[in-house]
Amino acid sequence: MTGQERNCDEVLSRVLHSTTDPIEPVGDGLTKIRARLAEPWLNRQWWLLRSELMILGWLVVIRCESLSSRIRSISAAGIRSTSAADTLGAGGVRAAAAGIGRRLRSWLPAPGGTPASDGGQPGGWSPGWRPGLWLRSSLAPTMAWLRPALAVAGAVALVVAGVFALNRIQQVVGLVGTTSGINAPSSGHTGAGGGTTTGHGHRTPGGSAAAQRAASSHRRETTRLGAPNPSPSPGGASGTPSGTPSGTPSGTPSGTPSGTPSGTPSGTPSGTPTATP
Amino acid sequence: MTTGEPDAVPGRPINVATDTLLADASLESVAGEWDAARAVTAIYTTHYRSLVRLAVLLVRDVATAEEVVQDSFIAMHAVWSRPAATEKALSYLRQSVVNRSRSVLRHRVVVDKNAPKPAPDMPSAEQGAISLLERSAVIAALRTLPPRQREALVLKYYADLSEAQIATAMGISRGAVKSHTARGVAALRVVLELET
Repeated sequence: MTGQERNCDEVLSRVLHSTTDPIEPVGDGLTKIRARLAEPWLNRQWWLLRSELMILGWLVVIRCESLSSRIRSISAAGIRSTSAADTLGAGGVRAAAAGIGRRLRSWLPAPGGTPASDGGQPGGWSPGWRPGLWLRSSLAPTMAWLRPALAVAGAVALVVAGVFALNRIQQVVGLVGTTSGINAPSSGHTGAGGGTTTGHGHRTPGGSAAAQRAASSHRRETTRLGAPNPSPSPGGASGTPSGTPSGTPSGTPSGTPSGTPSGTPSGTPSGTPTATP
Repeated sequence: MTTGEPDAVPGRPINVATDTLLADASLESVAGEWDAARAVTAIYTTHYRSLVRLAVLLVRDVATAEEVVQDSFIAMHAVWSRPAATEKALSYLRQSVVNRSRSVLRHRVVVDKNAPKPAPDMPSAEQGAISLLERSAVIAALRTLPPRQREALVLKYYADLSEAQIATAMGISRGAVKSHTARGVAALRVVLELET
């Protein structure tokens, strides 16, 4: 770094600090933050997303302007033609209906798969022609901008709904887990959900997943409190007891031996793992 | 120097108060909600002002800068239970401030493009708020820089962050930080030389 560069760095640093040092935050920010934290979760998320949503709103409004003006002009034209038909006689109505029919035929495919040309004559077939092509092509410039905006809006709505739903699910699951964890016996009982006790008196989770979660939370609590770590036994999802509930330790592993050697033998109180290659 | 205080020692992004706070948080992981509230208060006390000043340099408006920083605190509180976020609370806040400032500037561009033009003799509210900043030629020149270059310069010379920290805050690579900083300084060189 040359002396000149160092000088530039110093000047820049000094100027930035001297300029911003007099700036003081207006009002009590902490009170505002606390007030917003006390708000419901959805309100908080709205506050955090509002700038993005405002930008999106602006974009939608701007991009939809041409579409709305087009719709207005079409509706105005429709009103004009209706009033013209009212003033005309029966012949005039027929002529107007024929004109509308011709126009519709030009938009829609003819029975033979050949759309009529604008003049009512058959022919004028183009290979790329499809029903609604005119409508699509007329709205294409608007839709080109509207589509990503709608996609983003949809994605934002999905994310918000998903996060909200996830939060609720987590709350419910946490509640169930906590409740089951409190009710779970510490030793020698058959727990809710088909859990049984092993020879050590430790509860073996079985039955439902909620019971397993409860057991795991219970294990975590006991671990934190310094209790010995119980060895969980798999295969509880079927609801059948995995180990014999007798007090004497049995030497037979209850789980199906897997191909890889597992460090914890399930339901086996002996310390030697049975590894079957 | 205020913003750089916690980062005065290289590789030490969070100050002692926050460290203590984080240690407490890891010990008392059960009381997540309470820890988060306490952490917000502690970091607010230490860093709120400097973060607002940092945001002012980016968004050029004190009220908006405060909103940006408050939003960042709320977002930090929301992710406080995650260990990755608790370890890097201040880093997260800085990153959040930079990102939200970008959003604000983007919003301003859209609004400015479509808003009706004010009378030429009537200064806007924003103009009044930034008049203090505009007194310096360097700040005025900084305003003309592209957003990324401005962010890199502000984070380097105001927040006194290292290249790695700037890269984290801006969400870009270290090479890109070097490039943005060099280009920014080169663009400001004439004004800086006049200032010296």
